[in-house]
Amino acid sequence: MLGYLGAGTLLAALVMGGFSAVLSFWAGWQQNAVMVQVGRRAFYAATAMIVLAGAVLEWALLSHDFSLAYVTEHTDLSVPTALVAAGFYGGQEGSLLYWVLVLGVLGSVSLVASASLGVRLAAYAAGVMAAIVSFFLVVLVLVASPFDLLPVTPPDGLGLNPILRDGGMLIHPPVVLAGFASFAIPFSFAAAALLAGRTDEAWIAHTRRFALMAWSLQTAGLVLGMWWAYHVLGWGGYWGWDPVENVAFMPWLATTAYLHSSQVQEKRGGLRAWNFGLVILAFLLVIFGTFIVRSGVVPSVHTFAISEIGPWFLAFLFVCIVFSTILLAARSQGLRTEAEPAAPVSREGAFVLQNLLLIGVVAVVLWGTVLPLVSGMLGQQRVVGVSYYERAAGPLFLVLLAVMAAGPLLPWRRAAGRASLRALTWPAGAAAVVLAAAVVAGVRSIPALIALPLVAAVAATCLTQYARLGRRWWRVPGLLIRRRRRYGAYLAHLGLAVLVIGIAASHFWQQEKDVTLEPGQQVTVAGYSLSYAGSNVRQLADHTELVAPMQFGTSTLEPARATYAGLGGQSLTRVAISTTPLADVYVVLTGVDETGSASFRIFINPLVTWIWAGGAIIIVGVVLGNVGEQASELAAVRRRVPALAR
Amino acid sequence: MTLVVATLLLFAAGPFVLWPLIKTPAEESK
Repeated sequence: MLGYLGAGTLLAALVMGGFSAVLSFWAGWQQNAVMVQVGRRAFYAATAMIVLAGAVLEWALLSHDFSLAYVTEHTDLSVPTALVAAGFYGGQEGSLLYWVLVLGVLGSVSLVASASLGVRLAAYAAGVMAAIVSFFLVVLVLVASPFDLLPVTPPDGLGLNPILRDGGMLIHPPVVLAGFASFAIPFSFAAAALLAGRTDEAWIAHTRRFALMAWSLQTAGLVLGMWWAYHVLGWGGYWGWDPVENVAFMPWLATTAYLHSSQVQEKRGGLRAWNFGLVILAFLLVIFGTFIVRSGVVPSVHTFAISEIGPWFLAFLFVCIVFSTILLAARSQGLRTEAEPAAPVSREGAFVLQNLLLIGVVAVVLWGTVLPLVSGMLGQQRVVGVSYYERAAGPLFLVLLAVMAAGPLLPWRRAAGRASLRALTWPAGAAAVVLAAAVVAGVRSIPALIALPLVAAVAATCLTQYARLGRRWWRVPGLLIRRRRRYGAYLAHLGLAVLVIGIAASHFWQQEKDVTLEPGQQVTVAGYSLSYAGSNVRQLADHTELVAPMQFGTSTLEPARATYAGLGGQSLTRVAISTTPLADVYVVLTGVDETGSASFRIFINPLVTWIWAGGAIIIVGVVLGNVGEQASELAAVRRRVPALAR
Repeated sequence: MTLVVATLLLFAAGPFVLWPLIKTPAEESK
């Protein structure tokens, strides 16, 4: 019954979404305000139906309705309730439904907020969004329905993949999938602005907040993904340049570029075509990434089971590329920049350099990701390793840090004068002090000797901006609130500096040791002593755990191997981590023999906690910097662009 | 069955979606 209800709801949503797309384009073209409203309401109705379909799937999961193939394939009776609920996005079909659900809800919110943008632009935005939603619904209805029924209802399901049976499953996938889905919203507004011929700054003011939202969700998704990989996979690291990580990283990079270059358009009217291009690129990278990840064309630890949706996404990617290219070409006249060129060493120059570097990183990551695909088509399949990314993207990241340190101190338009050079003395001084300290401390790695001083310079730049506020302390709170966008951005930069310190320290100074210990024996790694107490077996609801506790100071670490008898004896490692601000002690149990001696792989990972803290600071900076910012921004643009006031 | 559910839902959504068309003639005739 639930299967029919869900499938019928998805079909109705598809019809409503298609109707909304066609009507919105037609009404926008005709400038028919009444029909634009009907088109927009059809989008809201389609979203309501998608939400209903989501509720039906969730109900089917929680009530263990094994007549649905999706419920059978991704849960069983032993899976804890919270993880059964998370099964919603645990498989291919459900994650696509979750995706279109997020797109529908956020798209509806953005359309409610865009009603004042003018009939045509709002209509085209609704049309583009409805077209994207309809595409996903076509895939959900025709090739990847979560409501397909089994011919015979089994008494129990096949269960959730053991690696997904973890608390991280409740946070990381929904955030990163929501981030992925939300890149469609800035894209829709950019495409609508191009369709409507409104290439002024109005679309930037409106799109920026949705781009920021997508970017923030993706930042949180990426950091949570790193956190989860670190806590679950048991290889001591958090980022492996896996295709799935890469395809989540690329739209983030493109949107990071946009959030900076859009300021050049806001302030000076420059980089118009470039800004449109970046927003479009971010969305194309999302669709491309979805194709790569879900079609199984490149090998990845994350790849969903090879499915039939690959060709659909490839076709959709092709349509999006052709549509965007034609749009940009058709509007190229209106995208010409009227602003006079800025001096190379100026704020604009720094933004342009930063953008080029970020796009350079996108190119490096893109080629690394598609190489197996391209080389496979040409004959012999080749795969690049971590060292490729480190050698190719590493130098670009270092120059980016330098631009982050110097850029905010350069003036707009004119070449940097003596005052700007004086301002650079603080970051330069901080870099010199850190460099000297690192050399004295015995650091000899050249990349570390470049990265650490640059991070210090970035932090010094941000702190000097805050310090300037402090001269008249009673005015500080008011200034911080009034210029929150600026100071929020500096906080985000500081967060990135903290995050980079964590990455640099754990990358350059991670220590690793393999040991086999008898019960009662002790081992010391990088000054951290652990003693093995002897193993025991624990029986839990859906699995057994072979635990090998280790005493570390006053705390007990419990690395284990979990075995799921119900899943054909699949087993996986349970990492034990003791976290301090200075380092994580990370213990992986690799085996226990019949005599009771156990083998461990022990990592000492310096400053890893700072990565998660840095991610949190970035999000706080972006949120605090943009709360309530939109209204004043739009009002300012309305004053500058009379067409918007209509 | 699927078609019946879809049709019923579309039918139920009609008044909400078409509301601008329903209310407009009345307002214009004022």
